[in-house]
This record gives sequence, C-alpha cells and structure tokens, in this order.
Amino acid sequence: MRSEGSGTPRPTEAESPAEPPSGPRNPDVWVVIPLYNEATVVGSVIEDVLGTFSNVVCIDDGSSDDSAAVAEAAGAVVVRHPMNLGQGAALQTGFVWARRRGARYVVTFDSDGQHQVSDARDMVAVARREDVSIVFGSRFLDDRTDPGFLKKIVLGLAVLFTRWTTGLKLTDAHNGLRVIRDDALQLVDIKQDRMAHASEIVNQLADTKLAWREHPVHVLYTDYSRAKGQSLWNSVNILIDLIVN
Amino acid sequence: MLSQILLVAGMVVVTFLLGRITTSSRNIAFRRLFLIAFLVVAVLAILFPSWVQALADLVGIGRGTDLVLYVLVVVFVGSLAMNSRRATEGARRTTLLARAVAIENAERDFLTKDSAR
Repeated sequence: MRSEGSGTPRPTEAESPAEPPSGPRNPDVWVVIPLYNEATVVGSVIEDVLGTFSNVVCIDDGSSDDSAAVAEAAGAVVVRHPMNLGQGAALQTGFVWARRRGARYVVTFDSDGQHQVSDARDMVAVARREDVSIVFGSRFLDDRTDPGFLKKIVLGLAVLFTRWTTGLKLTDAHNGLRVIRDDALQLVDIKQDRMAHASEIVNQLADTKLAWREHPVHVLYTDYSRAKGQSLWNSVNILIDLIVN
Repeated sequence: MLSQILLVAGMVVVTFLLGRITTSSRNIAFRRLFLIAFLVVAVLAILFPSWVQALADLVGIGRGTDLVLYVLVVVFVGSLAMNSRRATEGARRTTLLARAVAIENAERDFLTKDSAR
C-alpha cells in the first residue's frame, strides 16, 4: 500500500494515466455493495459492475430471500452478516474487507440498481486524475435526476444540515455513490448501524481534511427503488439517531 | 419556584449521569447506591406520609403526593436514559462480533476458492 506522506513526490500527469497500469478492470478498486433482500435485481447490478470493476464485495445483511446466493452466482464475493444489522454496519464490514484485501480505492454502491456504473467509473478516474481522496456523487449537479418534490425538500434540508455540521459545501449530502481512497478509508469507522450512517460518513470524511470533489451522477428512481425507498418518517428517525447517539 | 429549579436540575443531572454510565466499578456502585437510597426513601414515604408533606412544604410544593410524582418522573427519565445507553452499547458489541464472524467466514471461503483456482 502506498503511503501518502505530504512530502512524497507525486507522479506527474504523464506518468500516472487515468487507467491503472496493471489492467483494464481497476484491480486496485473494491466495490462495496450492502445487500438486503434484493434478490430480484442484485444479479444484474453485479454483472453490470463486474464489466468495469473486477472486485465486488456484497455484504449480505441477513437477507431472508436468496440475495446472497444470487450475488455469489453473479460473481461477487459475499460477506454474510449472521443477522440484520443495518446498512451502516454493512458498509463498514465492506470497508474492513476491502482494507484487508489491500484496496487502493473503495466505491460504495447500492444494490437496487439506482446507480450507474459509468458514474462510478468516471468518479474513480477523477480520483486518480485529480489526486483526491474522496469523490462524492451528487444528483443535483446536472438535471438528469428527478427526485420528486418531497424528496427534494428533505434532501435540501440534509444538505443544509451537513454544511452546518461539517463545513463541507456539498450539493447532495446523502448520495450512496462515493469513491474513497485508502488514506481516507482508514480514518472511517461507521458506528451508526442504521441509516444515520449517511451523515456520519460525511462527518468522518470531513474530519480527515483530505482533498475531495463532487461529481455529477444520475440516480435512477425506478418503481422498484421508489417502493423500497426511505419514507419521510425514516428521516425523522435518522435525525434523532444523529442527535441522541 | 425552589422546587421547580430543583426538579428540572435533578432531571438534567439524572439523565446526564445515568445516560453516560458505563461498566466501570465506580459507576456500577453509584447506580446500586442510588437504587438502595431510592428504596429506603420510598419505604419511609409509605410509613410516614407526614414527612413527605413536610418536605413538600419545605421546597414549596403544595402536596406531598405531587412531590412523589415529580421525583418519580425524574427517576423514570433517568432510567430511560440509562436503558437507552445500555441498549446502544449492547448493539455496538453485537455489531462488532457479527462483523468479525462475517469477515472470518468470508475470508475462509475466499482463500479456499483462491487456492482452488
């Protein structure tokens, strides 16, 4: 693993191409996908991701359907939680796994098909090219994503809250698509097992003071993801989790 | 007025103290002493209702039963805070254990498959 001392001379643009030297499918990247009861869609999501990234780890968070088997058949490494712990816990498990495998970059990706692999690929390229530790996906940097009126308000409030608590000028505080380099990853330890991890991870990444970018992504709201998506009530739960814990 | 200050302050202190109690022996001792003191006071209040009334008069609450009720609310909120804290700690331990098991199992499978290749 390369160290990131401030005095280390960095390779110039010509020496470090956007594609990694050792192969076309980003062998130094692990894509981390929390998985909970998504058997109908996760297979195609993983096949899609594997076209661009050779390392995919799914954290099966105690699914009651055959999500884990589907993910494994599709070619992902599956780490199985013995019980349902929550998405935050699943992400952290994925981070531990990726670090053990010596990942240079980790991509966090959703299992329900709302993220685009092309966005993830571009974000990794940005991280390499611009030498930044963190790339946040944002659905509000262009007009491809239509979150709907209520969701827009909730996400807007989340952005204000994040700016206020972290000082990061993010345009989308709760986007599940992120690229995190190992120097930032080793400073992340998600303790919020449930959905409040989305804010917690931004807080911890902000605390690293490492260089970051935002990158426009297209979040696809299918009927499927809408049906499974978070209710407004859950926003209340998240807020209280953040304040109490 | 005096009673209001005392009760609100008590609520804050109890919530804060019990909410942050961990498993150190000092904190466990504190919790047990508190429980014993609470029991003794409760027994005295039952045996000598006039004492409760006298105490209520002293801090400016009209009736002894109101004083009992207020103290109960303070203790109840503190107890909620303590339980929530303990539940959070328990969940954290469960998470760490589950994660260790999950990683261990996956690593074994991963290495087996790797060497089979």
